[in-house]
Amino acid sequence: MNTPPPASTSEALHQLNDRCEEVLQRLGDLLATHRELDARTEWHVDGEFADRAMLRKASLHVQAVASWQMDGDVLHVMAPEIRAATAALDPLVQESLPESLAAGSRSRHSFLVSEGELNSFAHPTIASLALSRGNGGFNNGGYVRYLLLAYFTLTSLMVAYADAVGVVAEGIDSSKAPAIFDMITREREAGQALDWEAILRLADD
Amino acid sequence: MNARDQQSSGVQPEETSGNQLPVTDPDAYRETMGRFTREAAEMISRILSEADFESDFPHIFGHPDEIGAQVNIQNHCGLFLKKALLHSAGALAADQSSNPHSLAVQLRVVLECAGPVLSWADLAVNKNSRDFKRILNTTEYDVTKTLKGLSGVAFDDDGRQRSILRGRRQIGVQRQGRPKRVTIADKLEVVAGGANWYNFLSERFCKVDSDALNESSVLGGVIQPPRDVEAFAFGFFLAYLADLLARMVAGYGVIVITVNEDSRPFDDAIELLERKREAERSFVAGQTTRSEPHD
Repeated sequence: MNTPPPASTSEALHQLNDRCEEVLQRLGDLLATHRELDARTEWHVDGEFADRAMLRKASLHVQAVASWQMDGDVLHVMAPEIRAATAALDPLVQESLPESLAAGSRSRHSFLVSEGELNSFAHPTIASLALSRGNGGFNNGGYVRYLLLAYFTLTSLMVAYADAVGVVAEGIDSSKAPAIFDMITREREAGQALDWEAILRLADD
Repeated sequence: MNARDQQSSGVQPEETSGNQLPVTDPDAYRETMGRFTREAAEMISRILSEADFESDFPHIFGHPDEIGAQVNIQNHCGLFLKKALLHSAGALAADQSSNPHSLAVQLRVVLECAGPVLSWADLAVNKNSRDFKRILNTTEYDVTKTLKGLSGVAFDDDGRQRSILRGRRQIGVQRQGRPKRVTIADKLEVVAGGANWYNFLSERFCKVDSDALNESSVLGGVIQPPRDVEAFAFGFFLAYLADLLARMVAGYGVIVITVNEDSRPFDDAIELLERKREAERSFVAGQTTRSEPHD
């Protein structure tokens, strides 16, 4: 068994875990907004509406991700959903990507910086399952890495989904768009407020 | 982990299915296959309740120095069973919320877990040298790939290759070459329907194909199918999932027999598979279900 971390360490991890839970809540909020927007307009899956079909596909995986809580080995279950949602969202958010992540510098899944790390969660091998939790395995340890991976991938998904839903809102109900884009700003601020020094120190241990 | 969202997927219903469904009562078929899936998952839970993931990982069922080398394979199987169990929970939650896209991506991971377990079981029964070489190569390839992924540019490829050659010599294999590339389809060679299912799930649900998006949600699109078609499709997916889980338990059971002659996991899994097959036949024949899952 691992030795329980000291109180300050435990606090930093709790904050990170709570942040993940908050992001799941925001994904649920976005999903509700997306459904409301969808219901307002006639749906035709052809030509100009292909983008909305991709967004709908992404929303089905977001629905699954947002239905779970951050406990146990939930990142295993979330990983294939996040990857599939990413594949659907990626073409929709190309224009919003920072230059470092723009198409061309990466072959696919460009907004999801940690896509490689999620790979072992989605494609198990005898080697990957023997690794620590943070690397897609079941060995004790690596919990900080596990939480960090969950936080970065969930945040990336939330930001990309918010961006894509915000663009749809601009075309259907522009009054909703600012609140959606504001979620991205608020999440960035909440992320910056975390005790990164303590978290990264733990990750190095 | 609790499923919170129960809302259904899809955009708008298609007007008609247009085809005769292969089962007479799609809702009952879906429910029954869901129950068989849960029953198979409970079998895995029972197996894992005897595993210890804490004290001497990855020797979750015992150390080879104490029990014998065969327990290593049992330990490997246990890890894949745990992984499959997690994704089965995801698939069952997807069934509850009628989300075929979620069910599909979870099913694909279970399929990947079934490949190695059934390969080892197949090898234990058939003792085929070709299969042995294939599994050995797959293990070497996976370990190498994982190590490369972990260590990036600092990876000591020559050192790893020397370790592989040393390991081969210890089990009487003299081959000198590096592990050959292994695809997931290769790993699914012994899984009935495995490669076809894997390709279907990958192409339709894991990648984004504009043409597929125009289709029914149970085929990877976003159009809500008619209710009976959706029920049949979920039943069909769950039937395959239940089959995979039960076969994994049977495969694990074959390994356990070689370790300690305990035939219960194998017998239980085969009994479940037989009941499931009988239930499927009764749905196709349009008769009353004669064999129900155990509650």
